[in-house]
Amino acid sequence: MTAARDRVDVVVVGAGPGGAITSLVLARKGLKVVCLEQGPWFRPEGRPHGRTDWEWQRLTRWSTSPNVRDLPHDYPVDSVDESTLMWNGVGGGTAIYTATWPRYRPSDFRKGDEHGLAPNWPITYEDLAPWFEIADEACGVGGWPGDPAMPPRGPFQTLPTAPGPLGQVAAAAFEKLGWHWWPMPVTILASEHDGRPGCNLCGNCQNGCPRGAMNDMAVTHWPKAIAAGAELRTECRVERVETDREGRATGVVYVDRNTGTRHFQPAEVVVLAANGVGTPRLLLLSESARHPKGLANSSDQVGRNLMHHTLGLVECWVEPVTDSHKGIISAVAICEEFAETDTRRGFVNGVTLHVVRMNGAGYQALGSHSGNVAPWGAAHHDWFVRHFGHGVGILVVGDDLPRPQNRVTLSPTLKDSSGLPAPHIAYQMCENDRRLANFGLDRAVELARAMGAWEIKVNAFRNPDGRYAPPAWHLLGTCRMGDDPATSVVNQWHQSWDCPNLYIIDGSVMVTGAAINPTSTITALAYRAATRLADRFDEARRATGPLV
Amino acid sequence: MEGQAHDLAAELAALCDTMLPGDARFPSATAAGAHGVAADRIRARAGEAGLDRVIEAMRACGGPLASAADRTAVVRAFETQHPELFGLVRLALFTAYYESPAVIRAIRALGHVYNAAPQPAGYDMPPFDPDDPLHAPRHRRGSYVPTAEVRRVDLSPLPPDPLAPEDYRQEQGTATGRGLLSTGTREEVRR
Repeated sequence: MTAARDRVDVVVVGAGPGGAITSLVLARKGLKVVCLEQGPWFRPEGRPHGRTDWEWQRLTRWSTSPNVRDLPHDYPVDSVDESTLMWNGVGGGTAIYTATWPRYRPSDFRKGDEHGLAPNWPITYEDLAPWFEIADEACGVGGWPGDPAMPPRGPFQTLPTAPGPLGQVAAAAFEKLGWHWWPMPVTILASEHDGRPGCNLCGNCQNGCPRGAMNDMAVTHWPKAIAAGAELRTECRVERVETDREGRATGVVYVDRNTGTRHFQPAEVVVLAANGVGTPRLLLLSESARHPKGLANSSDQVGRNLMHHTLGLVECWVEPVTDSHKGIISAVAICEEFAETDTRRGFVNGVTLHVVRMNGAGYQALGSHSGNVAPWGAAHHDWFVRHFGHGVGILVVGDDLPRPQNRVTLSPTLKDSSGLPAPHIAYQMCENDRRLANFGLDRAVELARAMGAWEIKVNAFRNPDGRYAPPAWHLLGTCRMGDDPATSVVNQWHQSWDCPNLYIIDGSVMVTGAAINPTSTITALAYRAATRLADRFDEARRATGPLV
Repeated sequence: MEGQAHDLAAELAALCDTMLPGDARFPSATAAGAHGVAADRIRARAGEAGLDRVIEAMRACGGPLASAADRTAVVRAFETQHPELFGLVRLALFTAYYESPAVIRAIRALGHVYNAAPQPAGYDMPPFDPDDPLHAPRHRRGSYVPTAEVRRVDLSPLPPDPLAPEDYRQEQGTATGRGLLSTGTREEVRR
């Protein structure tokens, strides 16, 4: 039996960056907003930072992989091609990420013009530029102005956090090579801002930040959204979006996971913000006789064009002390020397290098990011003494091309704790990606050598048979925006072409992946889309077609 | 049953100390108290039968370990023949070991500032210094292509079909490491 709730202006699905910003902006406009989140709140005191078993927690209960956590509020992901990383709970991925905050560059929006192996976005960098600044102010970014590799940005809210000896080793190597480098912008405060304290460099960013120095939407946005009148219902798992005969969304059906009761939440407008895997999954779960391929999917693009980035990790060990267990985990510096396309390298798109840290002693003995596991037995302690405190990580992030074969579908076998089909993910590099990834790994090894490394370990995230099977932090492109309803799922204002009162405000809409972490750009897109929706809500609630 | 309990305790202690023996700088696993914590973790991830599986696997590899003449050979065979189970033991043991008070004290004795838990203390490091060129770069290297200047690039150096699935067999054996960040697929968890 399904009980109907009171009708609201907007129901938002997912309490991560897109859902938090949308709820805040719409509630401040005076609209009645309900957000449904399948996970719970995670309070600062519940995080493992104060526990001596924090590394065990980091790798199990607080793993970034839902398949490792295996908790009832998560949903499993069926894939042997990659390991999807995500967080189901208030704040979404910002609850456990690295808070790395670079921006897409202008050419990332014009890949159709540049090489034609991916489409143009329907918007430009300049369309998004003011929203980047608004998002930065709301989230709080530590950075250093004047980067010649990017359009002007700033002012930043604080200075960068301490680079430490690891940052200085890396900077000296970049100078030796004559490559671009710059302090990585991060949404981690070096000093007090907006009532939040500065980072105390504890090194466990990927379990979140109990101090509130890191931008977690549960800290920076949700309290303000709730104060503005938004209602956030946690432990509520949405099963499907319902539509009427005209093809307009009428609301969503969800299960209250605490009581097991099923509800229908009617709404004038439905906003999906469930990330690049959860959103296409929900649209596919919403199939009906009228929408046999899933909702909003007349283009057959829902779930396709999944991008994760080409990732690699090179770790090296140097003579100087780097104290790689202290300070923010990622990243001290970014190198954008190779961020633009140069086809003389044999591929299109670019790659960036991020200088990162290594977590604690147990994590490092277990191989850290590269799999350089300390030997067991008599040699163990000598290995530890030699390596600990001398490591540097170099994350290689490449811009993978969107391809329709890389896609989210519904698993025929695996289900979540509510009995809903889990997402199935098929993902494989193309030949351009392979060349790009290998070029980036080679540059990272070159950087390690310039640091004077006495040991270098490469993790190309390949299985023994050679297949690329990466950790997938970045879930992009599966409901992409465009100018043509035949080849895209939403228009430039995130409005579904097929279902005119359905909006998608998360990483699904991104047309290309760029060679950097996407959350900064996702938040800017969310501010832009939500503000437009709020400003024209009377039209949006009645729309029967694109709201141009 | 009493004998079985003693056997289990002796086997686990022998396994942990073979993997992490003590030396002049570091305590052994059992001296640090890591073996009990590790056993709990193995049980938490692999169920009640998980510890029995470990003991049985070592028996099949030349054990019982506690009375084996060459413990290292037994554990090496265990690692080779039961890599997933061994990986769980290593994960449980290494994390338990490096959180034990005695080992944290040993790390500090090497000269490192190392906290038992990340918070509340965090770490001190000199703050970002705008006057230090290794903090705040002075160079003017790096560029971007403005929107209006994006032009079609020469695609002739690309492979014939750059969007074709990669021939991953070319990459066999190229990855020299599989770090913790690459773990966690459903397949691996099930194993």
